[in-house]
Amino acid sequence: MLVLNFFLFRILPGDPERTLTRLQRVSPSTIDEVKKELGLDRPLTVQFFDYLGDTVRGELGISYVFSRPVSEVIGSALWPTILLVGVATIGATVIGTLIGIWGAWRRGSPVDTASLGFGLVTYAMPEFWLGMLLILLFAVALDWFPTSFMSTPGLTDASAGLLLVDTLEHLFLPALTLVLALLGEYALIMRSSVIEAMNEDYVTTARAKGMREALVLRRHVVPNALLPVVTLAALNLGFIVSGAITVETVFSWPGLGQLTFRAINGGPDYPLLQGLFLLFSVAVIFANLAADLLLGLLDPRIGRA
Amino acid sequence: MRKIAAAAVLVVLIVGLTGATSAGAQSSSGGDEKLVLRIGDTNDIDGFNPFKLVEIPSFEVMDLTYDLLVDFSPKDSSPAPGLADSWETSEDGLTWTFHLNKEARWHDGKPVTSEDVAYTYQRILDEEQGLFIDYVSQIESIETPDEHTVVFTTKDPSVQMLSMYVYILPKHIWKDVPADETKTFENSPVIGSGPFQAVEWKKGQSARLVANPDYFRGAPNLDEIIFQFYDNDDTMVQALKNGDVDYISGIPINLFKSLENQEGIETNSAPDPGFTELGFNLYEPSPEVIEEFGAPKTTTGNPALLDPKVREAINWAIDEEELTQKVLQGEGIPGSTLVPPILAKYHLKLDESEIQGFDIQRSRELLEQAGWTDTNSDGTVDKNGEELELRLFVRSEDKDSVTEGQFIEDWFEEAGVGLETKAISDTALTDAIYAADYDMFIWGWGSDADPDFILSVLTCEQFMGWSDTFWCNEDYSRMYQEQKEQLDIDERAATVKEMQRIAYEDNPYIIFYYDNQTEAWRTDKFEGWLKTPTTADPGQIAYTFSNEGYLNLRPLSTGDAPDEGGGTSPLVYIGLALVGAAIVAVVIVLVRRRSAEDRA
Repeated sequence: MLVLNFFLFRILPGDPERTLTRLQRVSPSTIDEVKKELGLDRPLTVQFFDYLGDTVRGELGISYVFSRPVSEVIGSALWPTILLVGVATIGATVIGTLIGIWGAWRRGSPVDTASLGFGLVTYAMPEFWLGMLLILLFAVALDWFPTSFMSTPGLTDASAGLLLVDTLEHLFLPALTLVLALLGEYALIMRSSVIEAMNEDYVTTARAKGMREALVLRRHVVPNALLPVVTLAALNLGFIVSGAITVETVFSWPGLGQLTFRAINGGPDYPLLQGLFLLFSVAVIFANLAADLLLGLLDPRIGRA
Repeated sequence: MRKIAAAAVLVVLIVGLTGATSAGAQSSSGGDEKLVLRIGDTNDIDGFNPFKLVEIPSFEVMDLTYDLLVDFSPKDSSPAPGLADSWETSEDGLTWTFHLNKEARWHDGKPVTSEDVAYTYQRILDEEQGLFIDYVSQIESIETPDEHTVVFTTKDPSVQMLSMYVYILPKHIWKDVPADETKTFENSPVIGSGPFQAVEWKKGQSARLVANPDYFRGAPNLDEIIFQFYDNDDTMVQALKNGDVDYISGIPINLFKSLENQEGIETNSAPDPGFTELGFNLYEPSPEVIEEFGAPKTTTGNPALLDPKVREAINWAIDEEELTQKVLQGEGIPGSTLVPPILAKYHLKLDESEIQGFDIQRSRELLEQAGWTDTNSDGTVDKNGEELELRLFVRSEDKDSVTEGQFIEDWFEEAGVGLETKAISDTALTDAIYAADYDMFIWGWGSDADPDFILSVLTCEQFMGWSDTFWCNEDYSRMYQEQKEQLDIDERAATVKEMQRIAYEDNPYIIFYYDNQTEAWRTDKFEGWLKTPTTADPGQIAYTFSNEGYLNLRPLSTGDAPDEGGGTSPLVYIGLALVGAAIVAVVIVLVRRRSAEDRA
C-alpha cells in the first residue's frame, strides 16, 4: 500500500516546485533552489526510502500547499468530515432501512412503487446537481439555510448554544444532499433482504403460530434482514473519512474531501495526498474488520463457524 | 422499558435543542449589528505571512493590513502618500528623502518610525526576499536621521523609488523572527499599520479583518471585512443572490452574464492591468549570449520567424477583435501595445492607420515580400523548397488559450501558413521557453501599477530571466534604462510610448487582448461602491492598487437595513416537527407493546 501510494502520485502530471512558484514565471535557478528545499533533486529511489522511513516514524512530511505538517493539516479536516458523513450515514441508514421495510411489507402497492422509484432516482442523481438544486430551493428561493461553510464566517463572539445552532444550520443542506444520495442504496438492499426473509420457513412457522403480521415482521423478519444492511453501513463507515469530495466542494465544507480536492488542484501536493490516501486505506481496512466482528456478534452462526 | 427511556432522552434532547435555537434566533435579531463587508473568492489565502504570498486574495488582505511607504492614488494609481506624507529627491536623483506621517501607529499602539522602514528594507535586501527584492535592489544605503525621516541612496537615478510594492513591517515584531523562519512565521494576528487588521484565518473557509479605529488617515466606516472562500463558482454566485456574501469577483463569463440585470445586484467588468499574447522564439545563439546569460547553445525556433515581415504577416492574420468577442464574450479590450490601457498615462494608443488589423490578403502580400509564396500549390507557402510550418504551444491549464489556438489554426490556413498546435502544461512550456525549444506560444502577463516591470520583460538583459521571446532590440533596451532615470513623468511617458511603438512594429509579441476582471455586488446593504482608479474606464471595486474602494463604503442611508437574522430559524420548525414525530412514535410503541403483551 505504501509503495502504491508513493509511486501513484509521482505519475500524476504537474511539478510541485512549479506549484510553489505559481503565478510567477520564475527563472530556472529559483526552481532548482525550491527543488533542493523539497528534496526533489535526489533520485526517486532515495526519495522512496526517505518516505518509507518517515512513515514508519509517523512523520507524514510537510504539505507543499499549506507549509504545515501533513498530520496537522489532516487532523484539522478530520472532524468536519466525521460530523457531516457520520450524520448523513446514520440518517441514510435509518431512513433507508425504514423505507425498505415498508416497501417490502406492502410489496406491489403504490407505497412500494413510490419508495422504490424515489430510492432509484436519488441513488442515480449526481451529487453535484442534487446539491445545487437544494441550494436553489432552500438557500436562494426560501432563504432558510446558508449556501456554504461549516459556520457563519466571522461568528466568533457567540455563545456555545448559538454556535451549535449555527453549525447545525450549515450542516443541514450538505447532510441532506448526502442522505438523499445514500438512502436509495439502503432502501433497495433492505427491501430485497426483507422480501427474502419473509419467505423463510421460520417466518411461516411464526405466522402459523398465529402471531400478528406486524409482530412477525418486527421479531423475526427485520433482525434477519438487517444483516446485509449492517455490512453495508460498516463498509460505508470506512469511506466516511474519505469524505464526500463532491458534496464538500459544492458546500465548501472544510473536511477531508475538500482537502483532497485542494491537494490535487494545488499541485499535486504529494505529501498531503500520500497522507490522505494512507488514512483512507487504513480506514477501509479497519471498517472491513469492524464489519466482520459486528456480524459475528449479531449473527451467532458466523461466530461459531 | 429501555426503549421508552431512549425515546424520552431523544425528546429531551430535541426540546433542548429547539430551545437553544429559538434563543439563538432571538439574540441574533437584537442589539446593534456590526457592519460587515463579505467578499467571496474562489481562492483561499496563503496565510498572513507577507513573504509567502501566491493567491490574489492574500495580497488584498495584506494591502488592507499593511501600509506601503508610498501608496497608489485612487484617481490614477500615481504615487500618493502612504506611510510617507511627502518626499523629495536630490538634483542627481540618487538620494531620496521620505517624511513619515507622525500619527501613524502599529495595531498594538506603538508608533511607526523610520527605524521600522529601514529595518524592513534592510531585511529584504539581506535575505534577498524574492517577492520584494526586485523593487529594492537599486538601493545602496538606508539612513534614518530622525524618527520620522528615511533617506535612501540609490545606485542609479530611479523612478522606481516611488512605486515600491513593499509592505512596511514593525521591527519590534520581526526582529524576533530568525532568517530561516521568515517564510514560515505564522504572523497571526498581524501587527500592521493599515486601516484593517487581519485577525483570524480559517483554512478553506474565511479570513477575518477588523477595522483599525486609530488608523492615521481616519477610521474606516466598516467594522469588519470577511473574505469567504468558495470551492465552487456556482455556489458562490448563489451565495451572492441569497445575501450570504456582498461582493464577488473573478466570475466565469457565463455566470457573470446570468447576473446582469438581476434585481439588487450590480455587475462590473473592468480592464485588468494584464494581457494575453502570442510570443515568438527569436533566439539567435551567440557565444556572448551563452556566456553572459547561460542561454541555451542551440534553438529549434523556425528561422523564418526572425524576419520581422513574417511576424507582421502573422499579426495581420490574427483578428484581435474576434478573439475578444468570442473567447471573452466581449469582456476585454482588443490588444495592441505592451502597456495596458488601464495605465492610461503610459499606454500608447495607436492611430487607426498604425494598427496591424485583420486582413488575410495583406498577410499573404507581406509573406510574398518576405519571399514566401505557394509555388507548389499545396496550400502552404514555401521559400527555397522549404514549406512554412510552425509549431504553436497552448496551455493545457487554460481553456481559453486552447480555444485561441483553434481560431489561429483556421486563420493561418487561409494565410497559407502551416501550423501544428499542441497543448502542454505551464511547467513544460516554461522548460521549452528556457531551452529555446519552441516557435510560438500563447500565455499572459500581469502588470504592476507602474509600467517598469512589463517593459522589462522585453529587454535584452532579461534573457533567461523574464524574457520569453529572446527578443533583443538595442534601442528598446537603452530606452528602458533611460525611462528608469527620467524623474519627470511626462518625459518618461514619452519614452515609454516610444518603446511600445518599437515593440509593436517589430512584433516580438502579438497581444490578443487586455482581459477584464468581472465583479458583482449587492446594492441593498452598502452605498458608495467606488471604482478605482477613478480615471479608468471603468475601474474596479476591489483587487485594485488602492484601498479606497473599501474605505469609501458606508451603510445604505435610505430605506430600511436588510432584515438579517430576524424571524425564527427554520431549525425551530424542524425541531418541532421532530419532537412531534418522536412523541407520536413513543405513543405508537407504547400502544403496540401493550397490545403485544396482551396477546402473548
